[in-house]
Amino acid sequence: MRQFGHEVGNGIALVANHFIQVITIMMLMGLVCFSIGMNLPIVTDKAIALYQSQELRAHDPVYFTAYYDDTREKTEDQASVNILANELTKGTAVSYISNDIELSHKDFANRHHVFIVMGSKANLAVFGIPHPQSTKPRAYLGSALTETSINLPIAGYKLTAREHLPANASFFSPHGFGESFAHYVVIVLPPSALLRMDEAEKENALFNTVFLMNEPSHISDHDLSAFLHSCHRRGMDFIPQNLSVDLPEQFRKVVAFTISYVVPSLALLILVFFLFYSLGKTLVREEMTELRIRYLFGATLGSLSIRVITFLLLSLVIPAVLPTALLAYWAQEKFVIPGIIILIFTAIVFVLCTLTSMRTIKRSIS
Amino acid sequence: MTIHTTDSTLATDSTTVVNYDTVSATANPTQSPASPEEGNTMIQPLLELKRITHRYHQGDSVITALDTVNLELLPHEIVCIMGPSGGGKTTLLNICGFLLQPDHGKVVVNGKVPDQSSSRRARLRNQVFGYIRQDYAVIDHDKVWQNVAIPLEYRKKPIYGHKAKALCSQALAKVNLAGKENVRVSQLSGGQKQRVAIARCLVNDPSIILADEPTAALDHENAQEIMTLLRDWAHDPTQRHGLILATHDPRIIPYCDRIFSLQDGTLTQESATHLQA
Ligand SMILES: Nc1ncnc2c1ncn2[C@@H]1O[C@H](COP(=O)(O)OP(=O)(O)OP(=O)(O)O)[C@@H](O)[C@H]1O
Ligand SMILES: [Mg+2]
Repeated sequence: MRQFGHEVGNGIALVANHFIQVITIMMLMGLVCFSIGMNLPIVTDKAIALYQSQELRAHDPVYFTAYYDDTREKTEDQASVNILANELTKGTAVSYISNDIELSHKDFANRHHVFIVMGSKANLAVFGIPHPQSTKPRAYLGSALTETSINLPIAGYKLTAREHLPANASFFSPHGFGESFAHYVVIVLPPSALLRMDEAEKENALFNTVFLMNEPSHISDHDLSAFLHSCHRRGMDFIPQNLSVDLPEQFRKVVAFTISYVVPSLALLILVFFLFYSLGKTLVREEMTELRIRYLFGATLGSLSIRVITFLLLSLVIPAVLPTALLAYWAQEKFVIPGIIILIFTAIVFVLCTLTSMRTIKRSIS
Repeated sequence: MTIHTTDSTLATDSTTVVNYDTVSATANPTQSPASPEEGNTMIQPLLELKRITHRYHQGDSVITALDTVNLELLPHEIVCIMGPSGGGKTTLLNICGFLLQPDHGKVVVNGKVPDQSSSRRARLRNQVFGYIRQDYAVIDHDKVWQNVAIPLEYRKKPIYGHKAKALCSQALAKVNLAGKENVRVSQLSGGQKQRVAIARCLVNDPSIILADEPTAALDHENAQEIMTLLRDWAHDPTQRHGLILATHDPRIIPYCDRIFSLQDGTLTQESATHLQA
């Protein structure tokens, strides 16, 4: 036992000789974790959103790109809002509001992003809202929000968000593809609530409208035309787009993004892995003289391995895991996945270095 | 601690179980300094190699590094193994020092065949043997006394700290390095480094020192100083010490009692020299 403590103590002392390497590993691993942490969630969110959009795509969806004409006189024409509310009730349209909410009330939802979804089961299912069978007004907290409850007075309702969404919940937008709900407050309202929103919120909902054209009761040509004219009077010129056609384009964008950001990140990770491994081997090689002398004068391979393991734990594993853990703890949960990757890497390198060094000692002695 | 006597002929020679903790540390004052040619049947050898054969396997080829080698080291004796490079000298010393297990044959220490368990061998390396090598002799970034103290850490009852440092000072005084305890080894000359290595052997008071090319990296003056130190240690009439040297260096010959040549794994005695300088 005393011998064990002694070997551990000596392993700790060895680390002081390799201060620079320890700092290098810390910075490298922090950098890798940061770079992957920044890029990976963007891709995963987009990929999840694209996957979710499959459900929407089955409905032969039409969405709109808009041109805003500021030179024209605008009116607050309500026909389009009424048509949208009607289609939402029928379950033949999907829409949401995610900006410009309660502008008059600055501290609404503790200034978190807010996502409002109004309407039918189909609508709720598209956005992955829990319990889509119920269209009852309610609210949820994103997984990254630390509050236990937030009061949300909106459109005449007094809602309180208490339940957190699962960490992988995200939404799909025909315009901007997708984003995680982690930092959002999500509110479910009935379609009729749309009529009680302010004009900016209504505009947002109009802009995010998707009509589901495969439904038997889908929007009539007459209503669609009225919808577009009404939007025109509000200052927005809408051009219908077919999502089933656009989606492959968006998919290509995700792939392009993955290649341009994530592949270099992974390449960096692999590079760092080899650097890390060779650094570990160098560290052990530098200590090999001492280990061999100790073996000559009475150390067993067992007691030497305690020393090597202590040394590697302190000079490789902790410098690698520490910045990762700090990032994950302080910054955001998006560093958790890269953190796990680095943890696995570190474990592999640690085991490899320990095994190779023990083999080298054994070989160099006999 | 148990010692298995697997050799039946040995069991009749000596039936007592030897405790190496005491054997290695205490002298036998009744025993007179022996020279090899006077009745060595009476004197128990420190170390005996009996029909040692060792082969290395490299891919398909087999190298016979040692072929049925017999050797005896008596107390107060300096045995020198000479021979061409690749002759098997290092292999022989490694087998003597329980660093390598031979394919065939027995290594007998003070009349006993110790078992080859790894903890048993580590104990022997710590208590019975001291090793001096041409390469990886010292830890450069440590202080002199820290280098010397290493064997003390692996004793049955480890010695650390001030007590260890005091023992190191004694050992360093024997090799004329008194006062250098706190100097970094990297600041020493080659000869001084080799003397640190000798002090490290002496600190645990072994009975056998195995020296592999101890003078190869040294100039004439330093080589002489090292050999004088080792000879005085081995020939100390109050102790049961013995030294085995492996070398190419002819400067060493005058210091040796018996010289063997090891070529292609075969050991042959050259001549008995008594050129006491
Ligand atoms: N670990 C090993 N694996 C395979 N072959 C080995 C190994 N160690 C030694 N040998 C071979 O065994 C033979 C004897 O080697 P050894 O090191 O004992 O010679 P040596 O007399 O000490 O040589 P030198 O004077 O160059 O130190 C050589 O042919 C060598 O190539
Ligand atoms: Mg050799």
